[in-house]
Amino acid sequence: MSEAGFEYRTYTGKKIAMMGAGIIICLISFILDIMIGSSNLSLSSVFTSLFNSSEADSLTNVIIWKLRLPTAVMGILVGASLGLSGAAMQTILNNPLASPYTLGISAGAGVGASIALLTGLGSLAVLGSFLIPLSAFVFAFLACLGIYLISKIKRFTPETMVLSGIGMVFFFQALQSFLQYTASPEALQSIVFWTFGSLQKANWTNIPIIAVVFLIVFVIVYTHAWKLTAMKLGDEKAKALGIDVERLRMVMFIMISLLTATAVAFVGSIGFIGIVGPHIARILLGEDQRYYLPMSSICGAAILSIASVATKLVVPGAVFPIGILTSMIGVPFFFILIIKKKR
Amino acid sequence: MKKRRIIEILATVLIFALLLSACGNGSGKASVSTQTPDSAQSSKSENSEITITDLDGKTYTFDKPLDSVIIQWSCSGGPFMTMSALFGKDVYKHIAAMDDDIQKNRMDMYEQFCKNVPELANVLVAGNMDSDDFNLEAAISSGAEAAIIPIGLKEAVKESVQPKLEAAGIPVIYIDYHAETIENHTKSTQILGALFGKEERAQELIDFYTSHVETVYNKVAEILKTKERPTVYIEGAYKSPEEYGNSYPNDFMWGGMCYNVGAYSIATDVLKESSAGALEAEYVLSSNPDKIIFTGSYWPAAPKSIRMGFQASEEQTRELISAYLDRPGWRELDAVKNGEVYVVHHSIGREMFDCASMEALAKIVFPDEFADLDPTATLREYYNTFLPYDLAGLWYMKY
Repeated sequence: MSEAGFEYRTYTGKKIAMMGAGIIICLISFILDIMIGSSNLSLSSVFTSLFNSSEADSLTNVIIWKLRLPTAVMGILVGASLGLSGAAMQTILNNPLASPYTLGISAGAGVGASIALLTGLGSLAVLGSFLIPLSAFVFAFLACLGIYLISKIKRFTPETMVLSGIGMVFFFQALQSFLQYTASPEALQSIVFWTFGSLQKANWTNIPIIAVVFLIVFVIVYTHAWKLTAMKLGDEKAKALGIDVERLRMVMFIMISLLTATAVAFVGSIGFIGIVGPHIARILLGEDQRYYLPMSSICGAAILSIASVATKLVVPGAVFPIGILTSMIGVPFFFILIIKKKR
Repeated sequence: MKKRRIIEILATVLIFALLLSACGNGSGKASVSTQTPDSAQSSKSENSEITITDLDGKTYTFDKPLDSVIIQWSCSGGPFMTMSALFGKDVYKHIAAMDDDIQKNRMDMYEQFCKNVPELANVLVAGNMDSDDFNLEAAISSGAEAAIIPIGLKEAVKESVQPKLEAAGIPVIYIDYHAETIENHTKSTQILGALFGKEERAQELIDFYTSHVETVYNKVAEILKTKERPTVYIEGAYKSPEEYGNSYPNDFMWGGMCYNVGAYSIATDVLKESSAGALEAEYVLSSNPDKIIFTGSYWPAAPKSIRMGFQASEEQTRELISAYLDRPGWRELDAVKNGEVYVVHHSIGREMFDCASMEALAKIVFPDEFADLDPTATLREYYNTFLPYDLAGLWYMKY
């Protein structure tokens, strides 16, 4: 075996071990998330309910299966979705500051949710609990559509995409402020709470939707990993390698929009993960997209899941918006990584 | 040349400003002293001067009863409902400018009130002092002699709106119905009675209020000697069954009212003092409260919120509550199994007629001891005796 081949193998081995460690952290946090809660259930009753639910008392089953599990699963799923879309976004825009939030996608979702919360959307009320997520999704996608149309004219250059995204942010924030200005105190409270983000709305109807969208987008993005890595060398070099850069950027953008809009629609704005998840992954593993993309998902999932556990410890019994906590615990950790970074 | 022009303009502005402030001070509508007299809250001297001390501890003297005032928080503890009781159908004549609280947040009330007193629709709306959309110019030029606002607004206005109103010769007088104490309810009503020269009518309101509330409080004190406080879960049902609305601890709003009639709000153990917040589903389930109290109103944007008020029907409200009880695990709760689920109107506190609400809550907390009370009848009596509006609809209900 050649020297280079051996080195390559330790190099990939290290990366896979890192990812394994990330997955284990997610698992531990996920289990803690199910164990911890304001009703102080004993460990044994949690296990009975999980693995032998017919033996457990009905209130415990409700708490585990209808309250704790959906929230815990949602934390992992949404964290992974935001991590992945942030990573892909940073890659196609070749800009480490990009995230679904800097491009106005979540601002669009916020406006959609606010309109639904403020007006009830009259005849659409038949949609029931899907009304707010749907409205959020539609407006998030409108934001993406705006960026898409403007970028298309300029052949999907990263600069136009970032600039039109920043334009979207300000436009939708102005709309949001206007809606809040006209809102009644009760509606205002609901809007503000929505924009904080919360996993409490998780249930077994919306979880499969996010799971399916995540899997589809992940597979599509991942199959483009080589091309994306090539694109990181610069558009000219990627083109020389025979990659249709414009098309790749467009396809990736549509995928990211779909994933972000779906995730944000159900849980509200949980910022920060889309930008920090990928950065942590990059610091730990570098930018080889085959590892960078899944690792960003894992980091995102871990951050949100840990934040979910932390909200329960900070204010047991009351609903604490998880969006606030993700930033509060994520940012110091992020700073440590930046300072410790070798290069 | 240019410089000169600028100086000219500045000078003109300055002169105008001086003139304006001189007008404000010179109008002599009110004089203020910060000393608190230790005797009565309000008094009339021989030359029919009116002196009151507001809930902020400031004393104001007027040489005649006020004719029209600026008011705020019209459906949440402001002077509007008490003024309606003092003036009857003439109330609109005495409001120089008001907020749009009622139009925006209590549509059913506003529609009913305008049906009985159509002129209300023409009263100048100058916005809300606490959301920065208060139109100072319109308010000042409305001819108001004072602004009467809840003490809860003080933080928001003391450095912004208040100095400007005072500079225009409009004193800002604070009242307080939020504290839900007999003392502040009485003082606030006395102040309004004195300011408008309606002391007798004000005293009738106070008598009505205190006789009802004191009966309840005395009996509750008696009951608590032998009984434990039942636990209650209070939820503002303005969202939907899928999402928990705010709950209130023992020292805040609905929680405070429930505590006063002998209940213990489960929100007290997890929320900060004096603040509202949503509780976790799991916490509510594991606390297994003795009673569940929803507050309902008309929130058109939230079709699954619990509906109460002028246009509510019992059948529809029952259906809406039923959806709330289908939340995961709720059918297992003792309160639901025992039929201890109630709904009260969201905005029926913070007024002189909330003595009816205290009766309703007392009856919820101790149903056997207060079986003889009829809160809706008390509310109707207040409306019929004092208010120019007709009462209809649903205000207190057992599921």
